[in-house]
This record gives sequence, C-alpha cells and structure tokens, in this order.
Amino acid sequence: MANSFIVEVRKLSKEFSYTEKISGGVFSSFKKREKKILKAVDDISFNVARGETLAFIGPNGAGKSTTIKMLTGILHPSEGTLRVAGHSPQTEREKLAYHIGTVFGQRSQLVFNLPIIDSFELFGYIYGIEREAVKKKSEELIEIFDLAQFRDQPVRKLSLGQRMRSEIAISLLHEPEIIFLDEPTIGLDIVAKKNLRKTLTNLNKEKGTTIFLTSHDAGDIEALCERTIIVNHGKIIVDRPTVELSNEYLTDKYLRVELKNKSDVFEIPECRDVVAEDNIVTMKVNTKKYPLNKVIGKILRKYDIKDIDVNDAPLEDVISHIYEHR
Amino acid sequence: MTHHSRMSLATYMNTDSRFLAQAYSFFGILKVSMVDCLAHPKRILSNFLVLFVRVGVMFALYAYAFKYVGRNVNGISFEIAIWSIAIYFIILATYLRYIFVDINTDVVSGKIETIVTKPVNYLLYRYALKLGAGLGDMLFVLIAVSLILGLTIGIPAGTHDLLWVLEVILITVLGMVITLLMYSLIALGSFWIDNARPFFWIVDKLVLVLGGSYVPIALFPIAIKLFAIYSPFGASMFATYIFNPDFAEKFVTLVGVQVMWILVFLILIKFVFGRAMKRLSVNGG
Repeated sequence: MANSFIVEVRKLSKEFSYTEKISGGVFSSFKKREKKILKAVDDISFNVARGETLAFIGPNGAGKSTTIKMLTGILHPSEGTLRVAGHSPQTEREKLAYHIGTVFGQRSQLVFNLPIIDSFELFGYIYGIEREAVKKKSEELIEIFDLAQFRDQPVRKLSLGQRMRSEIAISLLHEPEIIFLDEPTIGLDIVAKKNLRKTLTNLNKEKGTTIFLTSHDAGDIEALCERTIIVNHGKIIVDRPTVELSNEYLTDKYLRVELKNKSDVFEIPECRDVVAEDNIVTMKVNTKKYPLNKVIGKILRKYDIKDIDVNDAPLEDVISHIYEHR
Repeated sequence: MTHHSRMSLATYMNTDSRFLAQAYSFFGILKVSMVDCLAHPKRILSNFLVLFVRVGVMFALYAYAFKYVGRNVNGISFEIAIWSIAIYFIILATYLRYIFVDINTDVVSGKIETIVTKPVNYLLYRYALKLGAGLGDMLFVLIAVSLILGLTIGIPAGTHDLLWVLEVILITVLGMVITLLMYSLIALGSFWIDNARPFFWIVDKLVLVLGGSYVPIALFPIAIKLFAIYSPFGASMFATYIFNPDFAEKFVTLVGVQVMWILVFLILIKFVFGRAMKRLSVNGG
C-alpha cells in the first residue's frame, strides 16, 4: 500500500559556507579570509499527505527555497533525511523526477523561440513519453489551462500570464503526484492570478495532485492551501490549517458599518483605525480586550445602522504579524 | 484515490534499459533543438556570411602566398590548404564550443535548477540541445561552402570513395565529441571559481591555432605538429586533415588519439560532475 505521506522530512538542515570579505586596502582580498557557516535550514521536520495543498512560506532568506530545492533534488542536505514520493531526492534524483513537477516562477522551462506545442514535445522526450500520449495529454492540458488561442505563437511572444499558465501546464505533462510551485503568480495581474488559482484548485480536486506552494502573495495561500507552514531563520515557526491562522495569531476583527444617515463623528473608544467615507465606516476591534458582542451592541445603541459586516483580519496582516513577532 | 499512471519510457516501450531511455530523450531533444534552429533562416544566413568573409580573406591571402612560394608547400597544395581552413570554419559554425557559455550561464544564473529536476542527465541534455542547434547551422554552411569551393578551386586530388566518406564522418563526429567534453569540463569549473571564462579563452585560442584555422596542421613545424596531433586541441579538429595526402595512412593514429582523449575526458567529467552537483548553490538556496 502506498505511503499516505508524499513528503517526509526528518531533522533536515542545510549549511552554506562562505568566506567573509575583509575590508581594508587594495590588497585586502589577498589576505587569508575567514570561512563562515550560514545555517539556511535548521533541523526541521514535517510531513505532507498525498493530495494535500500546502503553503510553505516565510520572509526572504527564511530557508523556504533551500528546503524546496532539497526536496526536488537540486541541493544536498547537510544533515537529516527526506523522502519525496518514496524516493530520496539526492540518491534517486532521476527516478524522483518522474513523480514531481516543478515551476520556478522566475525561470522558464519552455523553448523560447518555438510555440508551446513544441515545448510539450520536448518534455515528452525528456520524460520518455510516447508521441501519441504526448499529443493526447497536451491537448487535455491546453484545454484545462486555456492555452488554445496562443498555442501556435512562439513563447517569446506570450504575455507573462499566458507564459505562466503554459509553464504550469507543461510541468503536468507527465502527471506528477506532487507539484512544487515557487512564486507561480509573481508579476501576474489580478484576473490572471484568479484564473490560475482556480485551475490549480480544480487540478488538486479532480486529479488529487499534491500542491506544495511557496509565495509571498497571501491571496495564493488563501485560495489554494488548506495548510500553511511558516519558516523563519531556517526553523518552522508555525504549522497550522490556513483558516486557523487568523484566530490564533491575530485577535483583530474588521468591522464595516453602513449608517442610515451620514454622521460627521463616529466615536467608539474600543474601535481603532476608524475610516469614514460617506455613510460607510470601517474599523478594527481587538477582541481579546473588548468582546465583539459588546462593541457591536454599543454601536447599535449609539448609531442608526443599516448594515454591519464582521470579517477576520486579512491573511496578509496575519502573516506579516507572524513574521514580525516570531 | 487511484493515482496517476506513470508514463515513463519503461512503461511505454517495455524496457527497463536506462541507456535506451537516455538515448530516446537525447535524440528527441536534439530533434526539437534542430527544429528551433531551422526556424531562424536569417540567423543561419548571417552565420554563413560571417564564415564566407573569414574563408574569403584566407582564400585571398593563401592565393597570394602560393603564387610566390610555388605550387606545393610542405607537400600541401593551395587547394588542400583552403579546403582544410574551410573545414575548420564549417565545424566552427556548429558553435559547439559555446557549450561552455550554456553551462556557465546555467550555473551562475541558477537556471540549472530547471534541468536537474528532470529525468535526464544534465550534461546529455545540454549536449543534445547544442548538437541539434549546431548541426542545423552546419548543414547549411557545409552545403554552401562545398558548392562555392567545388566550383571555384575544385576538390583536391586523391581517392574520395565511400570508405573515405565514412572515415571523414567518424573523425568529424569524434572531434565534435572531444569539443563538447573539453569545453564542458572547463565550464564545470564555474562550480568552484566565480568565472571560468579565462580558461575558456586559453583553450579556445589553443584550438584556434592547433586546430588549423589559419595554418593547416600539415604546414606546422614538426614539434608543433606533434603537439597539435597528440593534444586534445588539435584532436578536436582532425577533420581539417581529411584532404591531406597522408590522411589514409594516418587515419588509425588520428582516431586512436581521439578515442584516448574522449576516454580521458569522460573519466574526468564523471569525477568532476559528481562533485560539482554536491556543490551546487543557486539563488534563494
């Protein structure tokens, strides 16, 4: 029976060594320089279940890309063990490659001067897929990712959104069990991001493909990932279902109040960051200090209210709060 | 959930042979690369024009020199000298030596990560791309230059039968293999030093001189001629030797030298590449 975990990481560490530059005169570079060690990933352990959607995030330099690169066989760990789809990425890199898909947002894997259909052909050869199977699968992916209208254009003529959709489509040609997405929506407009997230969600639901995402865009995480791991300084600082992050790490609720009549003054001492525009007032309430029902009761008693909405803090605020405080 | 069927070559072609799988990938990638290359006729034409000018200049210089020195120099006729130089430039049109630039750029920019996550040997992938693009270029240049020289100075005298053609193909292919291995070995130096380009230029200039670009190997003084023949720099360009009167006599020695260098480079690359991959460090990790 197949293991229920597609990714298993135990006590994983990665150190990089570098020589420290000595400041001084023109010939300072010739002096013996001190070797320094940087621990990019520090003793982390986690599992990812098959079919799970995971956001693996952290501030710049936190160690997330290093971890992904170890999981995909690009980098060798200094310590610890890891298995992906039942294979060791370091000793069975080529075998593992048949089971994983990778998309590095800032690096293209497509043949630049030829239409995407030729890139499908190239990937077919790379993965040793028969020509008929490549044709069938590429047609399916062209439909899923809505690539038909530009299938015959050279890749260099595509927009960023079209190229990114093509990158992800091509990385799925060999039907990987897990896809590693490193900043897949970087530089995309709102509509392109929305479409891509929807397609990836469908892919996960319909095909059961595990999604391992790293992104600085909270929208990607919210729309795609049921679980979030946050790393900082090489260590895991949070590992929670994404929906629980707001409750656990931010006690603010966001209120949007629609008044029946425009009021010049809106004063409720428990509310902060109050912004009034016409008869709409938005504000934040720290629910740890002030119970929400009491604050709402106070607003209802003091003002003539048409409508009131209560929302959690945006995920972006939650994540930035975690980065700053842990 | 029933998961995806693996579509590996082993599944589809009923073979577990890693060699066959790699060969299938290699020639497939080569084919796509050749299609990519042939999609740009203007670029091929401009490459040809550069070559035409270079060979044209040598043609004029040698015509002038042979007019004064005589019909033969060191047993080499004007026609042989020009054909030797032309063959050097025809092989140069493959730009195989720029495998150095491809690998160096992959390592320095981190693009290598998009290739090492695929089920192919990184170097074989790069060789296939380079050969595909290079052979497309070379084919056009070979036909054009052969026609021009054939119509102007004719083909040098000698036996040019089927056996000779097969020998030419073998010695050219082996030379190309040496070029790819030698330049990729230097490029792997990028894993240890920031910039391996100075080593590239040293080797490139040695190939330029010892390969017979400006002076055919047959015209070299004996010491340099020996160095040209027994060093990998000259061995990568033995195809320039095919019209020499003693080609048939020297053929086995030339192939022997080429095979020896290929084996040496293969051993070195296996050793260096294994260590290089462990040193790999790319941006953001």
